[in-house]
Amino acid sequence: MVEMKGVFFSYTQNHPVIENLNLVIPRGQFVTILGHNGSGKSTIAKLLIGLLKAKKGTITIDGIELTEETVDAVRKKVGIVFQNPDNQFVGVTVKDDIAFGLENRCVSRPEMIRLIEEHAVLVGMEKFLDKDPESLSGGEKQRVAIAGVLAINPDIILFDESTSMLDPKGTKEVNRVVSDLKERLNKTIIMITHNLEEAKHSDRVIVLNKGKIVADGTPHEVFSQKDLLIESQLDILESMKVIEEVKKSPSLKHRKELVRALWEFTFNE
Amino acid sequence: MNNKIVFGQYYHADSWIHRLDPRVKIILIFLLMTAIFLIDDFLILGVAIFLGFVVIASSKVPIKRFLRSLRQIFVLLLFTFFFQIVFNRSGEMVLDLTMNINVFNLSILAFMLVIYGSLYKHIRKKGRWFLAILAVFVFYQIYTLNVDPVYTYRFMVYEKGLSTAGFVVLRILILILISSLLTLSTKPTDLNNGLEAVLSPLEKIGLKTSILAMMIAIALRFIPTLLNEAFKILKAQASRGVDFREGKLKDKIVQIVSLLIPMFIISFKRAEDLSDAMEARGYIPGEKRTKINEMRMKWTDVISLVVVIGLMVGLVYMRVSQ
Amino acid sequence: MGIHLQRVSFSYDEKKSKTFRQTLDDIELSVEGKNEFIAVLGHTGSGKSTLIQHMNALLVPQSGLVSVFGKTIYPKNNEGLKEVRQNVGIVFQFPEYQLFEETVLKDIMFGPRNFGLDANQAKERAEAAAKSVGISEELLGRSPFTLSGGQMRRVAIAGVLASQPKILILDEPTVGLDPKGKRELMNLLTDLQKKTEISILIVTHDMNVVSRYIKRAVVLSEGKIVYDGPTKELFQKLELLRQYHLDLPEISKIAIDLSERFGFDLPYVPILKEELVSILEGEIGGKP
Repeated sequence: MVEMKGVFFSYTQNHPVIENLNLVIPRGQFVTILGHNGSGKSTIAKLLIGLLKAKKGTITIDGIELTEETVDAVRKKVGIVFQNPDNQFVGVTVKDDIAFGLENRCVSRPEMIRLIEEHAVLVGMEKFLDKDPESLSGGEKQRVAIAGVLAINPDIILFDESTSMLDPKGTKEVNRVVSDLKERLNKTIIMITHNLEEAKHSDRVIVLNKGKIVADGTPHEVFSQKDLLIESQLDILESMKVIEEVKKSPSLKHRKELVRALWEFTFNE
Repeated sequence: MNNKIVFGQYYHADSWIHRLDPRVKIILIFLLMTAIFLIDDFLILGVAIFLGFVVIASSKVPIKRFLRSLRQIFVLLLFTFFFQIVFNRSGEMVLDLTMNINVFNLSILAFMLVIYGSLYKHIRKKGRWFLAILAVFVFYQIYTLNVDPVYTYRFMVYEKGLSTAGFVVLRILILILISSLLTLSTKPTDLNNGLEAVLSPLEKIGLKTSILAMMIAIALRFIPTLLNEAFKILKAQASRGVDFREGKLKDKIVQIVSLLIPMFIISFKRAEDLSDAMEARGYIPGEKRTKINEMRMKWTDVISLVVVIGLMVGLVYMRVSQ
Repeated sequence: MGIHLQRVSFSYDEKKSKTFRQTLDDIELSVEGKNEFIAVLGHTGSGKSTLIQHMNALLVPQSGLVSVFGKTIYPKNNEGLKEVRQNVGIVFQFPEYQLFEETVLKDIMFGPRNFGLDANQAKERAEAAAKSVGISEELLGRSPFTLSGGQMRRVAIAGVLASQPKILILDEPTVGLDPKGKRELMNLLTDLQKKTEISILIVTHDMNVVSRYIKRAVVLSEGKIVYDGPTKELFQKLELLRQYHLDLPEISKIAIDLSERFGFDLPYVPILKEELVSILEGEIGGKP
């Protein structure tokens, strides 16, 4: 359970990035935070993992308030996958990288070997354990990052624009692993992105515009708010645009069925 | 891109040396290097060299790789050798040559230098051979021509000079070969782990060896990545008209800056991101952590250590009892 | 006049290597120096990056010929390649990493200076290029590193445009941009072409961008060109797209889905929203 109360953050004196943010995410929920570049979404991720300190307000994770003293304990419960596949790959090989978090937590070697194997299989990278990062694609590197995070068994996983530097193939691979996670493990997943396609399968979508929450609901509810999305500098799904046209067209019959079909298409892929 | 960049000197093979524990290898190299300086007898040096070659042969690393490292210090060896020979004047005289520099061979010398200078671009690699031939030619001249000398020099070589020169050169040679053996047979990451373990006692006096080792490990991880990125930046700047082959010094500086600054910026961003990622994954510099990579001593390690230590003891005993 | 690749082949591997891959295999391709708008498509590893590097002589063919605005580049060619780059400019992925000068203006001037222009000429060109990508005058005196990511990217593009190339090649220009950024960039390129008749070639994976903005598509697979023609027609060839692992634009996917659900045949595969709606009106609803 993640709770942010009255959180205020700015990098410099005059420009607050996040103002008076209040947000509660219950355990096991899959939330997507949508926002344009600069809206403060990545700042939220860094605040939740304790890399940044809120200027005002409190952050509570699973009942523990996030402070300098508790940050190490909190990091055992929260894992994060960053945007740049290279800049979070620490190990010289896939195996070494997945091991990194486990080594930091003084997990015994036999246990590490077991966990590495298990999580490599989970993300489909078990045949790559001895490969070096330069021989991997972006999608493969991100999957290794996910395995490394999962191996610690956190309750909450943050994905901070984890696919924005990937090609479509890599994006598909990563999103497949994420939706797998949702099915199999009862983790709280917080997905941060500007890509509406990735928000489709979440339980809840929150839209951030210039540091403030401007929408909070199911994907269905949020995707239909065309004006709000445009104002928040986000795109509208093509299917939504077609729905609009269908509704406007005077000559089209079966409009209700078409609209329903389009909604189904949106969430089916 | 398909550039497979293999950096460092590591040559992959499956030999007993490759399989030695890296910690043991580091200690052995250190001991052997010390041992070399304890030898002052040509016979023993000869035996050492022979054993060295046996070990090198058993490493399954092609000789060419070893020669590569020797080539780099060739000039140093040559210089040291001649330095000793010319200036060390103790012991009996072994050679007495009178060198006459006269008008004839002086002009031949000048002529050959001019040819060398103008052909430099074409015979870059073979230039050294050319110089050698030139030297021989000049020396030969000294004996055969009976023309009035402009300047006479008496070239004398003494016994001690010759033997010291020989010793120094052979010692340097062996040192280079031993250290090459280490880097050719050990992966950089294993070397790092081994070094970390060997230096870990220094933690007690406040030297943070674990942090140092982590820094080196990260550097090793990113060298191929940085190289690839440097290539990309070179291409981007080349597309903007940068041509490293032309331009005056002033232009060359800007060209290099156009590569360096982006590399710095990328590296700083990377450092920032990477430290965030490491921190988020629970890394605390200096704190105890377990290791996935294990180093285990085997029989070969123990035997090697015993043999080398035994040799050392023997050498020390010999020196002391002289 | 433009770029002509004739039977170009290239490989990064040594002939005797066990893992030999022919990165470019007998490529024939022509790009006119005016008004072309081409998308280079293909899965990762199909040779797209290698192909575009042959177009400004960053790489020379191992067999075959490349002719760029009259200059012929053949294997083992090492001379006179710099002028080629003045006519054909390449903007690589994440171009903001090429910025290094003290001010935005100086950085944009870097290209023209390298190609031999004096300081004044270069300044004029730089100012014009900055304007054409929407970088306002007040930004010119600032350090490029104080700009936002999107602005830096535009400065980098201006840096290539300042040399007034006849053909502009961009390698995945929209990666990392948010939806607004993508739209702005594509509109910028379209406007640029309208104003200067420059030819634009984009390597991309984004099918929605391709369908909306780009006229001609070249598809690469395993080093060979497997399609070279109008984008609209490419998206009609569903088998081909499937074979070469190419995605369809979103609208086309919707159209196919609706046609299956409602049981009608698509007269053609629409790639624009308006096309889809008119098909629906024709097949499902009555026309007015």
